[in-house]
Amino acid sequence: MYTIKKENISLWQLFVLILIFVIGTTVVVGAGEEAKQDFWFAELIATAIGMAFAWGYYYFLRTSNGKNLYEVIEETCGRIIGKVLIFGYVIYFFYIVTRNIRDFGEMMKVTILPITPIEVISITMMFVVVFIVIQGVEVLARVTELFTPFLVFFLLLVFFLIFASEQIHFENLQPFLAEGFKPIFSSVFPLRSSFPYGEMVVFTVLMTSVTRFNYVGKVSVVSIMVGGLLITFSQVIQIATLGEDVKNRTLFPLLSASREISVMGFFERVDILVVFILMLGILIKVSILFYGGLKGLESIFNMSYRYFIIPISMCIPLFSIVNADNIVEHFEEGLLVVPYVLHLPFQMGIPILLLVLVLIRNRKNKKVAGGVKY
Amino acid sequence: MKVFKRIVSEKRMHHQPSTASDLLQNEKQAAEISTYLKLNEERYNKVFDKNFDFSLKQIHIAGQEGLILYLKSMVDLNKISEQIMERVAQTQRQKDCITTSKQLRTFQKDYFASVDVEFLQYEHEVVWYVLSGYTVILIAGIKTGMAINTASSEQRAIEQSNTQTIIRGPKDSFTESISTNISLIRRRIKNPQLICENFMVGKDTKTSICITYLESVANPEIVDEIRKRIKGVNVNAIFDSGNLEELICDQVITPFPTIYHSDRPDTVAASIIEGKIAAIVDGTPFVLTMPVVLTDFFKVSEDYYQGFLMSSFVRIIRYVAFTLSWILPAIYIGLTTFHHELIPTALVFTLQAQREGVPFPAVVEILLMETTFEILREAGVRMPRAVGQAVSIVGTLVIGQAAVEAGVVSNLLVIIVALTAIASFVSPIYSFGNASRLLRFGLILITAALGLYGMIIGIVLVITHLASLRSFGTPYLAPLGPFIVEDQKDVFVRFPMRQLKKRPAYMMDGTKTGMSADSKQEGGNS
Amino acid sequence: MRVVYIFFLIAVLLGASGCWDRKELNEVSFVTGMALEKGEKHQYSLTVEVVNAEEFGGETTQGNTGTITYTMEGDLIAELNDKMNVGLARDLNFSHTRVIVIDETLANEGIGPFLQFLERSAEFRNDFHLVISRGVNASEIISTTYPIHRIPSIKMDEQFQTMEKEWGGYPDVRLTDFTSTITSDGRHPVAATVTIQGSPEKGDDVNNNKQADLDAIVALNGLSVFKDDKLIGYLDVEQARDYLWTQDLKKTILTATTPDGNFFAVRFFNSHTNIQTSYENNRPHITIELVLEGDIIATQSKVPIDKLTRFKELEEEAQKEVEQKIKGTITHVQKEYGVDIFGFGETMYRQHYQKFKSIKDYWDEEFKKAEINVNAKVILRRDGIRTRSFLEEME
Repeated sequence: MYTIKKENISLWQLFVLILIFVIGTTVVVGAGEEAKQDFWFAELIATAIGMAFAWGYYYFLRTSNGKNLYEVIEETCGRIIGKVLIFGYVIYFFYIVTRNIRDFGEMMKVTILPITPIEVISITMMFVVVFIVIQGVEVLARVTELFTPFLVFFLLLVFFLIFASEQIHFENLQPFLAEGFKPIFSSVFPLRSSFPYGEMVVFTVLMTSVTRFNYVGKVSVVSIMVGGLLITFSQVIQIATLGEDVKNRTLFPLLSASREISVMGFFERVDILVVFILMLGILIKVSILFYGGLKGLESIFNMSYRYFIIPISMCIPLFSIVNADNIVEHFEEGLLVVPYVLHLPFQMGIPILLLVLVLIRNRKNKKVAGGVKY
Repeated sequence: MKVFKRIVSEKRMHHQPSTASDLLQNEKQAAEISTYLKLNEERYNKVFDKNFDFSLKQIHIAGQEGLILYLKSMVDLNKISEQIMERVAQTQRQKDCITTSKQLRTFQKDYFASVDVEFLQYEHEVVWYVLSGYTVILIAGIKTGMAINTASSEQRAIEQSNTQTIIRGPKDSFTESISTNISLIRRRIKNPQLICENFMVGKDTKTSICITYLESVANPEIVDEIRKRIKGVNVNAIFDSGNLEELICDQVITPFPTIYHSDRPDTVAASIIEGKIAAIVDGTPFVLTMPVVLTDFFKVSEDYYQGFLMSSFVRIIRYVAFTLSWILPAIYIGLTTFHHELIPTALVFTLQAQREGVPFPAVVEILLMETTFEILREAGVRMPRAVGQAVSIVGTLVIGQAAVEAGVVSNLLVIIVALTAIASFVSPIYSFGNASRLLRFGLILITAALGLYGMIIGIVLVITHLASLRSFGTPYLAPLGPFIVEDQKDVFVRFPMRQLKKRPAYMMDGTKTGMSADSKQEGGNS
Repeated sequence: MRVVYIFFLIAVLLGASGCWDRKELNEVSFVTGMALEKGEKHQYSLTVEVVNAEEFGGETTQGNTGTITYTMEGDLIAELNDKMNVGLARDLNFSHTRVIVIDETLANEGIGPFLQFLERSAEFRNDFHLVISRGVNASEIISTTYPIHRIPSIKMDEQFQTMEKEWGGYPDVRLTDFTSTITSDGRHPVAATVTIQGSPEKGDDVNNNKQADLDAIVALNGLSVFKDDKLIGYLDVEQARDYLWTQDLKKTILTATTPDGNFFAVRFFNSHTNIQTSYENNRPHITIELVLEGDIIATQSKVPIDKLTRFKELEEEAQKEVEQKIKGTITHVQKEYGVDIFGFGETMYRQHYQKFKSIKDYWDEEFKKAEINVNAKVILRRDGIRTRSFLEEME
């Protein structure tokens, strides 16, 4: 029988993985039409919810004695139902992968490569993901570690350059809370809490590989906090630069905002930096999700996940394109269907159910153990 | 694939020339030295008699019949007459003749105490010592032979390093002689913990290899691994440390060297102090040190001999230059053929004006010039020293200028090619600078197909490859990924000496578990 | 072995993929300016100004024209952009467009439909100037040459930027500024106006550059006032500066009169504007508070200005002049056009959200009857390298 080789990642690596996972795509893509100029505040609330998510997932893993998501499912639900459930998660992760790849392809198409077929972009992107994932989670973590400083640096550089171009008008942020809290909540829930924070559910597969598991909860929460602050800051910059009207009509607001940059007549036209940020972010995010899904297959079939990489990676670019005929269908699917049909059950429903089952069983075990001992 | 591999490897095995003394060399069927002189004489004559420089003479030694064997071309004849023949003559006065090995040893203490003597048990040892320039004395009735070092000490003097020059700091460099090289290191590290272990590699060459490390500092697991890998080397010949490097490194298919080499004793000594292990190969001035991480290739020993501010600045320049040397042409292609909107307006018209009338696409243009430069560079290295440099400079100037004037390439392109070429020389290690040459061409091609998107993909692939590399179990990108805070003092900048008290942490930590087993297992999956 | 496969895959991938977006630098022509007029047969007539790059390479210069213009008619700009090769040699690239000139007759009918194309396209960046041509055809503006730069649009770009920086009088209106003001309830757009001084026909010739007194020159002519996307009137250059004072002006020069009736000039190098709004007695109250810091650069008065009291006097005079000018311009706009180009509605939206929400649908009416107060505070710092003028000793 195949034995799963244990790969370890350090706490710092977990920190950067979560950070990039959270900020990767979120800083660039637009959202939050309901909250208008207060969206940055909505983002802060979402960060708090995200921190709760992270702690929740950690608590879930801790109560189940450091087993990862798939092991817990198999233990609590039995073989058949467990495998079906795991398969559900696998499909869920792969589906998010296809969505991210499509997001990226659309962005490249409308911005810098208008004629290149989206298939080529998807396939080359997936090729890079495969190249990273096939070498294992340790390499993935190391690559993330290397990219993080670049990504954060470029992000701050873009902010700084926008600032230096005198394009920031903070009066665009007024009036604050004009319509009360209602529009803010409607943009936080369920959309902003499920994306990107709810997608953290994939870390229930990864967290158990961390060498010092006891600190995982704290590290994840801090990481989400840092990421959330960066996202909030990015939203502030976007709204202050473009104004909420233009921002809400724009597909990739940070990209549009970066097009305003012009410092000393030389530092202009640097929007490739934003494409670079988005690309690295999506790359890491997709790699993590892809790895999570493959690990699920590993636990279903008891074979090394490396066997599945090539076939699955060939399907993903295909589905990323077949999923939606055009960009509107793609976004509508993501805004109206996915949060309710997929995100809610997989991010909250099933984990909570499993947690309850585990708690009940733990209590039973304790009683049994207690009976024997005393 | 495996079948194919096996057939190829079998072919290679048969291709090996079998030497006359195959039997003698095979240690498993080692034959002991015979006590009959006649038999010995016959045997060694059979091995060597076609050689004009082989000398086998009968002598009288300590009242016994004896044989003396040496290769005239390998030995210093003065040494033989002074150190052996005179003493052998003295032994004639000895009363009792020696008959056992034990007596031979006391005899050696009496007469040959001051010379380098080895005692031999087996025939193949005799052959090897003769081939190495020793004079072997065999005495009738004794199973033990005596080999006296009479090798001629003709060798190059210690000169300045040609490949890794520095302005301030020690000027000496290693030579081709292993003993000189060891002495150069020992002179710098006067520590009883400094271990020099000897190995012999190469079926035909029997090259000496010496592993040197500080026992208290070096990671024993890595030392074991190196011993294992060197013992596992199975080739006919080792002429340079480059041969050994390729045979013992973790991964061969990579443009990046995973073992450091240097011909500067101070660099090697500093590595040993850090806890690294040096391998000195006889016959080459280049000493290997391992394990190595990427950032080591940006350090020069001079960094530690001049002020830390200047060193830090120069080191950052090196990083920038290396990055430029492989991505600059790709950026040029990406901007001029894909993303015209990203060029500042003032520049774009100038660029366009230069490109007017150039018949080739930018990719062809840049490949043309890069290839031309590579040819000039190779020619410059191979040509006789007297003409080499002049020809290469003139060639570059003439071809570069003429190409622009003829309207075949644009002005800016020549600047870019020149800049990348110069930047690739900045790395202190030649083989590392070469990596950028290969990567540059790959990146040019992928950028030509997909624009800057392709360039970023190329960069990500290279970084992922780097992250997956290991050098004797140490992750190749060690202080950066995995990120180690305390090691950052000596990566991009050099902190003042007072703060550089600790040895790099990545040398000590437990990341080396499952290194070779790991890579082998992954290789097996394919 | 795996690595070999991977390299093989890369090779196949590269070979199989064409180079779809590849376009050599000498296969494209960069458009620097566009002019939009009403077409005769179709909705629009578009003129593009294309750079002849050979003229800008130093060695390759031949003395030919620096730019080429070409005009075409069509119903949609989007279509025309790619159809221009009916007459032009190369593929057009619009990413370096500097100026878009819109003819006044077209602007009278509304420019919204045309702008939405520019906003949607990723090729146009947000760094071109949107100007209205007054009295001359828009296409003549972008074909009037100038010796420096020799590209009319680049000349205009520099002209506008310098004007904005040194004196004010040019509103730096970019595409997103324009579109977001169209959608805003509390503000109407403005754009700069340009015209040609001299004879427009002669400007379209390289020989125009060979004389000191140019036959034709493109000149700024104040502001165009819009109601939503339709042009309804103009303000002159002085008024444009006053308009900018209510927004945010960096640097300008003001001429005022001393109490004894002579002119004096102040260079303001630091100015801060703060607008306060309120709604009382059924009409909006708008208070503009200005803090201005400046130097005296000239005075024709014989009274020496080395006394503190004299400084105070001049400060007061300058203050009055500023208040009067700004208030005059605002009242002029209120009476003449009745549209809020100053963004007072927006300020109210920020400061009194609930109130503004109830009146936003008829804000222009409210603006007409709004009470305007301008309070300026002028601080004069120094008066040049001479302490006393020689004028006082001339007697």
